[in-house]
Amino acid sequence: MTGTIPTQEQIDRVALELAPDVVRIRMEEDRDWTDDPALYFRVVLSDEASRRKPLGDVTMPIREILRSRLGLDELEPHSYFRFRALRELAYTNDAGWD
Amino acid sequence: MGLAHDLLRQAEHLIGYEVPAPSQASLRRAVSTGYYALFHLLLEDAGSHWTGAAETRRAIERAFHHGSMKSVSLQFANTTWKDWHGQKRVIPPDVRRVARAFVELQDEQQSADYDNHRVWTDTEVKNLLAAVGRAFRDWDAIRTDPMAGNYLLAMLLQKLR
Repeated sequence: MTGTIPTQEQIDRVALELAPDVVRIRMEEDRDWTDDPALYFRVVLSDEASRRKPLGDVTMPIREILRSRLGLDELEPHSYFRFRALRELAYTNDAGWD
Repeated sequence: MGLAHDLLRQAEHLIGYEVPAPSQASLRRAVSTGYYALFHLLLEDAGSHWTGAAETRRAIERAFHHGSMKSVSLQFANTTWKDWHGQKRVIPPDVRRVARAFVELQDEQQSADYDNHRVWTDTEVKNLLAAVGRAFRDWDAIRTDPMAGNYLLAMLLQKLR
């Protein structure tokens, strides 16, 4: 494992590439439930993109692009990807997605 | 269709029957059920390689443990794996995707079942079930590959290595 943890600036560049389906992406370094190092990516989708069916046709390519552009396979922490629609942020009120 | 496929269908049902606003209970159960669908897919496949007594097959399936399955999946999420003879072997992308999905779903299942403060959304859960569905298709495509067999065997023998 030789890579370096991506910066928010690098992540923002990928998010821009994925617009307009992706509104923004946030990343948090943390530990997972067994205390292994983890990177949690929080991807905010546009409401339009989040309504497409099947949703996997939207989210799976985004995961792969993040993996390749940010070199996530070269990192020790496992990457986790969470997706929410922009409209869902109004009731979840979770600062980690802002 | 075995239990694994039934569980995946049940998970998809759980996020669909209260449209447009699935309850938190249904969203949580869908995540947990999605994880167990993938868990049982791997168990069923490992058991299917056994051609002896049904009793022994059941014992093989019961020998899998969530913790060792996660640690082996972390190994198989990488590009290479050190085989039984210490040689580095390339892991096919399909096996890596299944392993990554397993790690991700197990973490989310723990959160869905035990973190009462987390609020789940429809989009989050649909994304996770899409990952499970993709893992099912990937496994179907790669399950006869020797590295898929190594993945299952490593899970069984994790405590012995």
